[in-house]
Amino acid sequence: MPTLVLDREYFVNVFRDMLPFVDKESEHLQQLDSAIGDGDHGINLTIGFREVTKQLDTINEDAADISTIFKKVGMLLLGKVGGSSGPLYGSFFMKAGKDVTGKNEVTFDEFCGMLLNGIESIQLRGKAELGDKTMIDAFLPGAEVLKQDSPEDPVEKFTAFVEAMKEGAESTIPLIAKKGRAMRLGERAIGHKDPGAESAWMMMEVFLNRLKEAVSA
Amino acid sequence: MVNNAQSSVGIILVSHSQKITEGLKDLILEMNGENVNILSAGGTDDGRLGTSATIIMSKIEELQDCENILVFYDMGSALLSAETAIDLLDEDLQAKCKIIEGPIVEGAFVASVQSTITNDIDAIIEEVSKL
Repeated sequence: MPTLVLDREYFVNVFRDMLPFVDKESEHLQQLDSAIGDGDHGINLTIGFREVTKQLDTINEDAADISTIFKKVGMLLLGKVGGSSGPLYGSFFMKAGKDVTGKNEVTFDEFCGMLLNGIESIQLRGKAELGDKTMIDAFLPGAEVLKQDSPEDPVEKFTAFVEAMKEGAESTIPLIAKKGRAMRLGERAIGHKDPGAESAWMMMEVFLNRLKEAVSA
Repeated sequence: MVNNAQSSVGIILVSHSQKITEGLKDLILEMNGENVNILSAGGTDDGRLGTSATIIMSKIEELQDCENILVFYDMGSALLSAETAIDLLDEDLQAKCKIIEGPIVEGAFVASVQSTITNDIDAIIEEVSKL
């Protein structure tokens, strides 16, 4: 199999898919967040990605490279989302684009590197550790998969990445929260999945779905 | 936008609620005779509850002529957004900004009163830390 190359259209399509995805999952995320957070995670992401969708064509026309597209998307999330997921996901996308300046296509390995940069920025920004009941509990196990050598089939690796994140999100259920509003709930947070960890793996699944398409094309 | 050319201290207020930061700004201006450089940076871009790194960033930029800019926040994502905003600024402006730990109402009040009598930023921060 030749090396998989992802062009800017792939990323634009992923960003285009984000709004229908968050719309569909909004209720689910809302329920998780109502249990231990302030109940606005679903609606916040919807508002953020609604703005991204609105501006995506213009962003795509104006952007010189993939890096700029990611930076613009990240900036919109910073301004619109409102909750902690705003600066966290905003930083994620902005930093994911930092090493691909001037590029309009990236290899699969470069793409994995972009996501690792994004994950690192979430860690730096939120200062959460593994087990704090945050999106880091999903992202860090995922990062371990991304750091491994890529097998022949990129979809296999990316599926393993999303699976590791999904398991990470599940692992937050029995935890006491160390960050955010849920931290104030003490043991009351036990038994509830962290909404940020849940939206994190789900967003990465949007990348996966388009990746499957890119590979089969 | 700098109200007082004498004062080289700027104050930025960050909260999920724009009403909180607007109200606090009004209170502080009232108590200092409009003599301080203070801006409200609460709420999201579209005025909902929440914080916005891009709003905070543009408010800090409005105070760029100040020698020092103190950023007060209340809770939740206010700190995350304030840190993100500062990261996005030019290095020169970044160096002027300090995020202050402490109660936003009393802290911003103390800092604003101090800013009318001194430009010594360490002394101002020291006063706030006594709260």
